Amino acid sequence: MTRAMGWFAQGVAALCALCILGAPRAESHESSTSYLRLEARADGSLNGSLDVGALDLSWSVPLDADGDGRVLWREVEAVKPGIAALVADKLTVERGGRRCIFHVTDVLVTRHVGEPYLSLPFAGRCEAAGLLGIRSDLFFGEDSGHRTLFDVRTASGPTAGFLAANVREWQQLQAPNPWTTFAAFVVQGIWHVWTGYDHLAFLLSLLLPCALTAGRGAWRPAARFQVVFRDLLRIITAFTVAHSITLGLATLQVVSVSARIIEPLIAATIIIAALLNLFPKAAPLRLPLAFSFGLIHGFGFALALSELAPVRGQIVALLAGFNIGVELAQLSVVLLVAPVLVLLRQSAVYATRLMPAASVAVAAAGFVWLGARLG
Amino acid sequence: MRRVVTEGVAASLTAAVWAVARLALAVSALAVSPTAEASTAGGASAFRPTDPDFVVAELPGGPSGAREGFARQFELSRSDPQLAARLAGALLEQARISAQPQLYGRAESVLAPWIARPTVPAPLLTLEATILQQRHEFAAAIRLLDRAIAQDPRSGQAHLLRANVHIVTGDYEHARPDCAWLMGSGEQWTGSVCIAQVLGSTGQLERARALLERLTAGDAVDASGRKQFDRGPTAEVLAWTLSVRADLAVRAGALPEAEAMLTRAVALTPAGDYVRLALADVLIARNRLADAVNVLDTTRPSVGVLLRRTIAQSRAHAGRTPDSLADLEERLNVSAQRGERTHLREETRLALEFPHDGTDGRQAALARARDNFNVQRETEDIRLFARAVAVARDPAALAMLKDWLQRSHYEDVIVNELMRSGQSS
Repeated sequence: MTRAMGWFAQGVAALCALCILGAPRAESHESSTSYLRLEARADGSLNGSLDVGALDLSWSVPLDADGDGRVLWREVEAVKPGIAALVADKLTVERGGRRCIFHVTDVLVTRHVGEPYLSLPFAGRCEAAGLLGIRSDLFFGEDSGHRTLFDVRTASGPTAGFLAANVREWQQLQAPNPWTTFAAFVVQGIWHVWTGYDHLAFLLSLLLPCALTAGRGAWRPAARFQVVFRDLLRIITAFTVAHSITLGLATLQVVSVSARIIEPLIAATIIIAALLNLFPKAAPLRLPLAFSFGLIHGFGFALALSELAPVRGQIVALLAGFNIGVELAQLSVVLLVAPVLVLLRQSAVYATRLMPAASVAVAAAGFVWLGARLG
Repeated sequence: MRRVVTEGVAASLTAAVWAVARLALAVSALAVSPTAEASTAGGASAFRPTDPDFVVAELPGGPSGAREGFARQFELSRSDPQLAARLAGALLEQARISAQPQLYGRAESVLAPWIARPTVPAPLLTLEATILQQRHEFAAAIRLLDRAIAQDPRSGQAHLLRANVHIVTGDYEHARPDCAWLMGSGEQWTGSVCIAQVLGSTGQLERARALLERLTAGDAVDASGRKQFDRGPTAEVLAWTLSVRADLAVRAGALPEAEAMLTRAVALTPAGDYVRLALADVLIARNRLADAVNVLDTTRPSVGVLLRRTIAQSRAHAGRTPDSLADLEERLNVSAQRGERTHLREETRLALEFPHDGTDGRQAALARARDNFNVQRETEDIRLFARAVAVARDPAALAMLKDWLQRSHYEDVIVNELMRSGQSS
């Protein structure tokens, strides 16, 4: 027995006070970590890779056949079957309560946090549909500090987490019904506009001159209700189409813009839109501005949505829900404000005093927000 | 005529705005970074070496025969507490010498079946406490050490470790009895270093420094005029003593002395991670950035090493992002994903060294510094908290730190200066 102890015996003599004295201050170290990537598709295919530390694996599989303290690629190739068998023995994947069949297809070399790793791609099938479950017993029995960080992708989106000695299983949770997600995000969309004073302010600055027409350098009451209605429809549609485009692009992660750029830009759009109301000659600009500023506001909506839904499952349901919620809230504002404007338009004070004053007030608020967001 | 001109201007303006809108859309689609691929984290891309002699890994800690022996020893240790103690002790020793943190987890697995029992042999409790201390679970470590000492009041190792955990957490009054016990039980050297750490943090910094100076000068004599130590300390113990001396010197503002102590300590234990990091810190403080990077060059790149390398590089080349920053952030990220909170000190230092703009950044750095201060209170932890308090100008945190400093009579030139600047503002 003594002989079998190898270098362990050598350490014992030096033990007593030294193993503590030598580390009198708690200098923290990184412990061993495996990385599991796994993708289960709706067609039943299962793909992924398990990256294990070469040092960790050397305790379970004889990687250093010649015992020179170095692991050569030829030594790894010689024990490939052993590595594959170890993974088959220790890693289980289930779907719909039935075990998926998979096997390690290759052994590759990689690195994580500067340490040498072996990357073990695997492929297989899950015969049953349903929820996914994973369990690993790799290294946990002999290394209580081990963690397996996993990144699991299924049709309902990615999930990340870790397995540890005392939590060796992960079970996918029942995803909420897409209609529930949709309904929840309709409410969130409505709420975001109603409570987001900056979008209300922008909307107001677009709406204020809607019941007026510009002619001969001055605002005049629109002659007929139909004119007001047509103007409203065009402006609101341009704004809606534009912000739907950028909301979609940003949420689907096709593009991303920092909040530090978008937030001040939104404040700037409010200022510009409100101040343009003071110049009847600029009236033809209102439609293109509603569109181009709508693009900017869409990024703002996307930022709000990303805070509400950091995990990207059911993306279509939540994107559609949120956008429809935003439109409904917008519509409610229009329905509330437009009749008042239609009634007010005949009053002489509205075009000459009230509308410009309200626009200046909105612009002032925009300046305050701009200052706060740049500061 | 005038109306025509106005309309013409309006029309061309309209066209211009539409053009801007189209351009904005194009720019947002092209120039803004695509993020679809960015979320898949972790590791370099995998490859298949073409050379059969490609070195995949160097195995630290000797020939791999020992690893095969481990599986058998591991099985046998489940029924033999003495073997379990030897095996776990040897793993801890190996972990320390070869900087292989995985071995702490293996040692804990050896101890696990024994720790779960209602009565645990004292040596196994002490070994488990060593691992808990390493993971910064200080309160749990103290509980195990209390049990170990109740069972075996003569365990010098348990007394020393308990004193150390109390000192690390800033609980100097609870460390004192264990230091005194070590002095009284024939462990004068370790007892002296222990008591010097307590004195140095409780208003007697100069006395503590003098005590260690006498100890390491080799002129420690007892009442009868004989030298107290027949044998000198081992290289490891001397290096530890010198690192404590350096720590006290740093707090007194004597950086050249600290550098000399740590240079000696590194020479005594070239593989020692801790003394190298401490020396690098002193060199950074003295603005000897290239020397600091050199000291760290031979060490395995732990979070502590990468942090100091990043700081030294960024200070040497202002405005350039150091190469090691991405490495460091990856490690901290993995640690966070593992659910650990053992890198609070490093995260705090990183947040203060590379501050994010605005109040949020300052408050986030302060929150980290406070969390860290609530876990551990060594020289660096206290300094980091004082720095974060000074930067964030937070009255509640300032009061908390001031209260603790006054109660413990803690001394540190840098902390004193930060407190003065905090109060004057």
